[in-house]
Amino acid sequence: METGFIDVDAVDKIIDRWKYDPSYLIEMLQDIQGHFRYIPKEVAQKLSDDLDVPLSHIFHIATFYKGFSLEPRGKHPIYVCTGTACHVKGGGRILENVMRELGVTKEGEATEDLFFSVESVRCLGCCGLAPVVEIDDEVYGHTSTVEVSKILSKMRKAEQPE
Amino acid sequence: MSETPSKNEQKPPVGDVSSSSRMQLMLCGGTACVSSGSVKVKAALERELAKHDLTDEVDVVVTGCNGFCAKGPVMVVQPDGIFYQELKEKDIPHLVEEHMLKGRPVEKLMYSPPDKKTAVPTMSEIGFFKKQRLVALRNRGLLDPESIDEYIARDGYKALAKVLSEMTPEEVIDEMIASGLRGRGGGGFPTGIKWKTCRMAAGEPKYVVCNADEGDPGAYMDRSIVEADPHVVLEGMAIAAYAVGSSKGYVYIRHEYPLALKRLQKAMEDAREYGLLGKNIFGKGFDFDISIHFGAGAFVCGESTALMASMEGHVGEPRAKYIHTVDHGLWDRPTNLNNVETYANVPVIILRGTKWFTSIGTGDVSKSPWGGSKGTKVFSLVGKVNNTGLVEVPMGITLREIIFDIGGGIPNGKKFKAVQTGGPSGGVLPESLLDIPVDFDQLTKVGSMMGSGGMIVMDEDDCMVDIARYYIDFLAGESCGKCVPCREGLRQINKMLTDISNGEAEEGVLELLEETAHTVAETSLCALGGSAPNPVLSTLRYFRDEYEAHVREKRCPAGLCKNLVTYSIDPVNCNGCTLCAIKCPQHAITGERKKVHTIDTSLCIKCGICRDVCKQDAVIVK
Repeated sequence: METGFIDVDAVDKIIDRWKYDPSYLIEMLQDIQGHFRYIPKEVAQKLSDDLDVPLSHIFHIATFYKGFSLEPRGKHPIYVCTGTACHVKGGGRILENVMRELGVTKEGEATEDLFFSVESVRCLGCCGLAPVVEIDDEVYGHTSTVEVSKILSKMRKAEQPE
Repeated sequence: MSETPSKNEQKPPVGDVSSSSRMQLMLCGGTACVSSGSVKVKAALERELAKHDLTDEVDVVVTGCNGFCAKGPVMVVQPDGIFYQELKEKDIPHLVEEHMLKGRPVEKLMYSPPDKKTAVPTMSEIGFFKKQRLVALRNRGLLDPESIDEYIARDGYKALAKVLSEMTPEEVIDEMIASGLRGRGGGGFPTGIKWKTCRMAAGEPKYVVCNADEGDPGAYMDRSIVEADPHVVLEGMAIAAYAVGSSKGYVYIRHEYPLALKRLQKAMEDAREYGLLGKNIFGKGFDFDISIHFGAGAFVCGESTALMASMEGHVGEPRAKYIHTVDHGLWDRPTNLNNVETYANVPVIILRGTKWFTSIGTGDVSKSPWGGSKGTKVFSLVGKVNNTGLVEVPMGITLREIIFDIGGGIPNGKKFKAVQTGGPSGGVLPESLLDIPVDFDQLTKVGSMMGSGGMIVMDEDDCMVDIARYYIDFLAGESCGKCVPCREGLRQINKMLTDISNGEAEEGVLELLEETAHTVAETSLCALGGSAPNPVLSTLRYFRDEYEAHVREKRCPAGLCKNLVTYSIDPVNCNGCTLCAIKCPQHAITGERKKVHTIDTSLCIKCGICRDVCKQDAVIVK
């Protein structure tokens, strides 16, 4: 999924914010993930050049931590919590159903139109509200397969061209 | 809140310290209450108060997590302590008019226990709060976490002032050792001993690190402490820094906790402005400042050496533990690492003394801090329990008291089956162990552990094989892959558990499972692998018959393992509403309106949607 060109200014700003200090590489990658919704290959290369850190090291980190994705996430990433509390209250079934409904076969994958992507997270820290799903920074607690399906179709409708 | 007033750790709330209001509305702004709608409730409160011209008399204070997350959004009206729950925007006009204007509390917005109809008006009378004892969370729900003045008004930074002006670092360390405080992150290592070793370690500069990464699924204690009372963490760290001889601290916090982060940053800015962080604190020549590092989602970073590698910008791979991080930690310098909850205990111990602290808890720590478990522990009480939320209890309380008295028992008339403590490194305990006292040593003895404080309650519908597989799957994914026993061993265990769960395992698998689990525990490099088999071994120990049913009879007694169950419709309960047939993604359900429906099992993918939508409870899974 190549984007062709990369917002170089944004990357420069991020590196600058962390003062070109490689010990903040994880924080830089988090900002990059936040901006691009994934870690584009070109950006990883740029980081490697600018910080004088081997590209392999950058990919080592980007693949080690669960917070990073090498594939573009959707415009609205869906995070289904599968922490223990959510697991015993059916979080796993919610994940399966969302994936089936969106036609996504692998966790972390986006829908073809890049509108949604879906993946599990290992605890959003709202265990009292299990099962929990987070979409666009909004936490939906005490949810269910049917509830989530309603939220998703509402979001689709809200952004459909007239 | 937790005890009678004379034994109470808490002072009354301060609200806005400069205000002369007659009433404070302490509205919970913890993450759970926010997602249940407390922001809208706040706006409605302010609107209605203005309408009745009450703005000067009644304050709305947004607090950190109150703990009773199941009933959010919650609000406590002070000074009377009236507790309101499940507030909705539309309830507010009536509430403000009745209670705030006319002085008549509104009963229908109060809490009623599941088995009784009568409302319980005050927070201190509610079962959920009654048996709690707040030490680390002593300020929860009583102050605005974004106000340093309110923290100071509740004796904030007084402990720091005391150690800087009256105590030598050695005296602080001795006090910590005598208090018997043990690491609340899960390890249970005596905090004072750790500080002492770090102080004596050679090498400069030294660092103080706070672990707020909270990787345990099913636990959110640290998140709530930082959100409810960020200054207590900063103060605890500053005291630790003074004791070990450090001037630089780091908080390693999860990237997924934006609210906690925001509050922490605000607290740091305010503390700097007040001269409580920075150079020459309290004019005593002590310098200390804090920076934040983000975790990026790796459970193994709960391991101290992995956490520090991550802070240096590397992957979080642990190293062998014979070199301790107190000697060679961050950037190879002596580093003191404690968890959020541990730091939150420090200021109150300094202020109230070890005699008070050791009066709570189990054992005798007068000779050695390993002699008992003193103080309290915060647990996230979640899963199949009525009152889910965050609870702080004295060490030595029984599991039964936590689950049934505080937690209010199991919902929907189901039967209690097991409780899991200690997160993925912990174990699953059956009903027969509900009366053991909860402390570090007792939990370890029965094959679980204290851990950081996750407590997940399970009922008869939960399958123990599935739970073991859940944890092993998690741990196999989180294993850093550096050592073979953990990387390969967990993968093999996962495969065996999957086979058992699918009904494809053969006789002898349980013995092989046990042997592999022991090998992983004994030969792994770090504590992740070392404790990883606990969920398997503890479920095998207490629920072996359930494993055997899967292996021999190809049957899942809890009716959960997908391959071993079939869905059908109960002809007695089904009223033919057609809802399941409409919602079934496979069109596997047929039937006429008002007639009994049937499921074509050859089409059914066991997604469970029919059971979710059925209002008659007519879908049978067996």
